[in-house]
Amino acid sequence: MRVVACVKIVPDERDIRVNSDRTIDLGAASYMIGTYDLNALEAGARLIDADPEVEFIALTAQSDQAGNSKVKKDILSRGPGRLVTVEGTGLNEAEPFVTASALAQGLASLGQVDLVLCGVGSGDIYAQQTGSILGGLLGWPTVNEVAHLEVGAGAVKVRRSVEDADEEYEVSLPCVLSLTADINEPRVSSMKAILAAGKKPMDVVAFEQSPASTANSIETLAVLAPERAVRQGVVLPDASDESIDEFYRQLRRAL
Amino acid sequence: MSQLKSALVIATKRESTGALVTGARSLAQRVAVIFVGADTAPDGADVGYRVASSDLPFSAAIPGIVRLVVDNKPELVLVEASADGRLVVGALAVACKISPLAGVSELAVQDGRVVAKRLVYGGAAVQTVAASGVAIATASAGLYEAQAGAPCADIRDLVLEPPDGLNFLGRSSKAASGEDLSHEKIVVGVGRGVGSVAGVATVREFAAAIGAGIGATRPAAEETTWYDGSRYLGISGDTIKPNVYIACGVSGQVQHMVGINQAGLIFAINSDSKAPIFGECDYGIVGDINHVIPGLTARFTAGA
Repeated sequence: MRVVACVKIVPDERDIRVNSDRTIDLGAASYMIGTYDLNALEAGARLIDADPEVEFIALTAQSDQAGNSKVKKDILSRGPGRLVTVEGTGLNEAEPFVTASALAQGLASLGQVDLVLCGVGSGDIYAQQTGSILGGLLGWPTVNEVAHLEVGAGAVKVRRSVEDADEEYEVSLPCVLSLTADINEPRVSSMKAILAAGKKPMDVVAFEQSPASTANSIETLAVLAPERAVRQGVVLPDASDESIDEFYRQLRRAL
Repeated sequence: MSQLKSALVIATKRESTGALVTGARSLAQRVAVIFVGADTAPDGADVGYRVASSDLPFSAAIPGIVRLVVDNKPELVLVEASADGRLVVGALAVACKISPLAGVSELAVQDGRVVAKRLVYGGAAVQTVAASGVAIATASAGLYEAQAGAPCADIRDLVLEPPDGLNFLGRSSKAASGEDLSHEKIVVGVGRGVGSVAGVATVREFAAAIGAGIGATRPAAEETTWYDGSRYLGISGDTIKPNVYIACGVSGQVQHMVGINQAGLIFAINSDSKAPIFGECDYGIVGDINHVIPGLTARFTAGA
């Protein structure tokens, strides 16, 4: 069985700088595996734990020249046997339909794939749509909010956690599953896995962009830091009785 | 604001129908709505398509919804930002070959285009996006306030057929674990710094003493064993606008702050003087939760 986990390499938002005109500057940001993609990698790693015959591959899509070799090794230290990167202009900033199109091309380059795993949302945009769009583009059954999965012959049983209910489905393979954030606790990579990561294969597939559609399109007009509410910022530096009294007085007035 | 000719609303929960239809009404002349519940009346809509089966899940409506959108070509499809909403949006995005406007905080019509705002980079930035052709947007029903409307005269049943390869085995209801804090005027937030079951009990006593609802950060809700709620406040959870928010052991990272920074006043208690929350609060105190909070509870109980 061949399993693929989709992973996005994203900037660490704590490194984001805000310019005086409120535009944001990612220039100093270090890059990392999107938090929720760790769940997809962990889910794949557990499938190998249960069955060592499983072939587990990681797939990502990014802009040309994005590099990120350190993060790619991090991905490979978490279970997959190899990493395929789809590279193309603007993929770092792409919206879900384009990202999913790139991922679909990456999957096509692999030949047969049985199961695709995605996290609940990307670490940077968090649209929570790429997995479902990918399933639709492939024409495969696709489910989101998967909180539990159990692979069987030709199908995977899933528990889908919606707001007020748990739904059980049997989903035919091949399929695309978008997982919840609490489906699993990603493991810490062992030293052995970290050292082995550097030796695993990394392949690149060039993204073939379709001509821009003139019918339906979206355009980003701006990305700006929010206007910040001005807060009073009165911070008592200790928890003496006097300080607690003062804090209590202010809170009492506010309530 | 100019208006679109037509919008299709997809409400995946009964209680969301009114608010989403009201929102669509402000943007489009003609509003159709896909709604659930045999007893739901989609007031304010021109046409209603009922998803009326207790045996099948909402996902069984997806193929029918896609056909409706492809046939009728509404300029805006306004979908509830729920698990089911996001699943149907995936199929619609593929059918219309367009990226959705996902999780919008604002939606408007400008020069014939739908323009939306949404938070990105964990809340560090606001993206403004415009859609041409068809706009497929997901929004929380809480973005709009339901207003009374004319009863819908044209209600039809939506044909349900599960998507291929998706075999529904059954469903079990569960109570949404954690309070709906959207109407609470005072909310106390539990962050990682609360640290223990005893700490949570201390916070609960305090909240009871001041009549507050209790929320949590994502790390407290998802990554600890000592907090038992599953709902949380923040960019990937709930957003609230209470009069007063009291953050207990909350570090103040932007992902959480975007869920609460519209509060009237923010109070913070944290033992780490360098916690980012002290730069985003009105009043703060640096101290141990297990010392400060019982002190506050005692003062409120005595002074009440």
